[in-house]
Amino acid sequence: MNKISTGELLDRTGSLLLGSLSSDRRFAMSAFSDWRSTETLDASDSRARRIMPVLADLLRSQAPDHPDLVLMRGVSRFVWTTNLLKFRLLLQAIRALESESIRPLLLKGAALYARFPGLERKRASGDCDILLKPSDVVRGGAALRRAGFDMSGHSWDDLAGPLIASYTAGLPIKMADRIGEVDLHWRPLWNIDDPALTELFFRQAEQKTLHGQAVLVPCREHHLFSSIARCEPWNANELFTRLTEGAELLREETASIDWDDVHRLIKRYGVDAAAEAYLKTIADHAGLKLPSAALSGLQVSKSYQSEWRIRRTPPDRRTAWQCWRLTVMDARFRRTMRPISPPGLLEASLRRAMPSPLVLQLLWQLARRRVILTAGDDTLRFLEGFSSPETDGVWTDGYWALLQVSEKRIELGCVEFDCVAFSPNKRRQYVWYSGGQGVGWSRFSGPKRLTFRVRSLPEIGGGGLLLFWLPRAASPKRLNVSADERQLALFIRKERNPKTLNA
Amino acid sequence: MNLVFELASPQCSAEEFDGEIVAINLDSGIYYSMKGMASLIWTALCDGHAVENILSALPSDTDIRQDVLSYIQELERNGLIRQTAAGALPKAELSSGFAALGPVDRPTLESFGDMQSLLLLDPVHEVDEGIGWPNLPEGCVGLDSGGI
Repeated sequence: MNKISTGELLDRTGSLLLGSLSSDRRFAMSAFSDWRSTETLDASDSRARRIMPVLADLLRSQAPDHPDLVLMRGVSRFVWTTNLLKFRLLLQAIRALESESIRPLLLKGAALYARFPGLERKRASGDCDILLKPSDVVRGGAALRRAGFDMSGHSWDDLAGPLIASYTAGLPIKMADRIGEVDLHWRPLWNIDDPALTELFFRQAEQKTLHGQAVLVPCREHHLFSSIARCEPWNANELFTRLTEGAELLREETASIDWDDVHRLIKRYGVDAAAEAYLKTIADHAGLKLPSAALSGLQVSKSYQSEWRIRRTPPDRRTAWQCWRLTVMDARFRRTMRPISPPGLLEASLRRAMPSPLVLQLLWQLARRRVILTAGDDTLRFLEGFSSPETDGVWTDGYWALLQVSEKRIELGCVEFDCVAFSPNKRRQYVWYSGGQGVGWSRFSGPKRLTFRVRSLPEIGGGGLLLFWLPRAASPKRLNVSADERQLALFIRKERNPKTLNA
Repeated sequence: MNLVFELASPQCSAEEFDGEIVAINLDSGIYYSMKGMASLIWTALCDGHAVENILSALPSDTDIRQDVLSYIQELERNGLIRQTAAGALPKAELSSGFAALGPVDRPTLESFGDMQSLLLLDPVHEVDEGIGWPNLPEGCVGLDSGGI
């Protein structure tokens, strides 16, 4: 069996900071000293800030005259206060939901603080995360809105639309004059879209108390699994946060964890490689002794390793081939309930070549065979290559996008969209499209109205398909426009009023 | 005067940091700081000592009874403590802390109301090195803080 090299999971800073959390104080002090020998507090990143109260405690016990202690003097107060004020917002959200008899489940850090109250003075929280059952989202959203919460980037009405079924797993909400945000989730993990997992989390949830408020948290096995499965090795900050979360959980609860339960979920969703790398990193760097059962059952095959290696590449730098590999792995382990199956090898290979009109038509033929569900009453279904729906429309994300038009529109023979091209610095977008009746193309920057002809697909129960090739898609981050890492090309606004071809 | 108080949880939470008591009223979002005598009285109250016992444990050569009573009233008025019907702890357990305090200061409750602004401060670099966050360095204009 091949093994992942876990030494590469964290960079030097991450390794030493995780080592500073070790229960072995001498080991922890040594790791801290190594970190400080090359980095200053002035230059410390968010990872060090997140655990600084623990570093301050370490210095108080091991080096009480250390000059850093002077600078760290108020950090513990700051962290505790900030956490509490964030909990204040969280508790308001929970009470608003309970007024509608909806009990949310706390996720990530919020669940950890409810499980271990002493942590709230040791670990800086990000925003607080809560999970609702999808069937409660619309009613819960209305209750939160009545309580004075706002949603940025979306409107509350979007909760009743295609957003819940999209790749988006949750949205931040906030309240004027309140510190922090609450992330409202309808799936426990952004990268796994399986209603059965949400049901399982709620069914086996534990009850805890957070500042007098009874709350639900995932059982320890589900909490550990979600920290592992959420782990994205390309993102150093997120990775470190998930590792410290797991380290805290395992430090207190290792003996109580049912590893068979954890492994059942790991195998169900095929995250063995992530689990092995994650658990070994915690054991090696945070000085935790894990039982042999923690690692012995994991089967890390070459395909798992391949996926893990791809996930170390930032999303905006992944090749089309790598994206295809990830899609195939998602489908293999049924991580998502998508209305379309992943592209086959031929389709993936054709996409890598420079497409000609003939190839585009062939790609359209191949894509239409993959459609599992048809659009039904939905006017448009964004099948593949789109980002999360926004209030006004949706961005394409990547070089290829597939969109399905409902039967009602097909009867009219054509569909029109108002589009906006992603065109910073006068960058022009080239949009090639295939609707089954040939291939067209357009070149534009800024807003434009595009008209497409579509053809019905009776053999799959109706529904028209539009395939877009967007060779000039680019991420705003790489163009130094913003930190957005999506590969943007085209923003499709809500569909215009339908017209007939002859109108 | 034989009143007994307790922490007004859950709307109030408090922690001790290097001898300083920090309390937050989660209803109002206001941050409170208590040091020295104020912190000792707070701890004694939350441990379950009666007000009368606290007053009688004060060093005999000082006259801050009225200040202590005002301070306790301020704590209650700000929603940090509330009266309880629970029995008081024995007086004998109380005196040592007050005796060790040395010169007696008048208990004060310091509050910080504009938390939004205070939390924007870098807790490592933009604060008083001697006291730490949320205290600004000497010479800086305060945001919205002051003793009550």
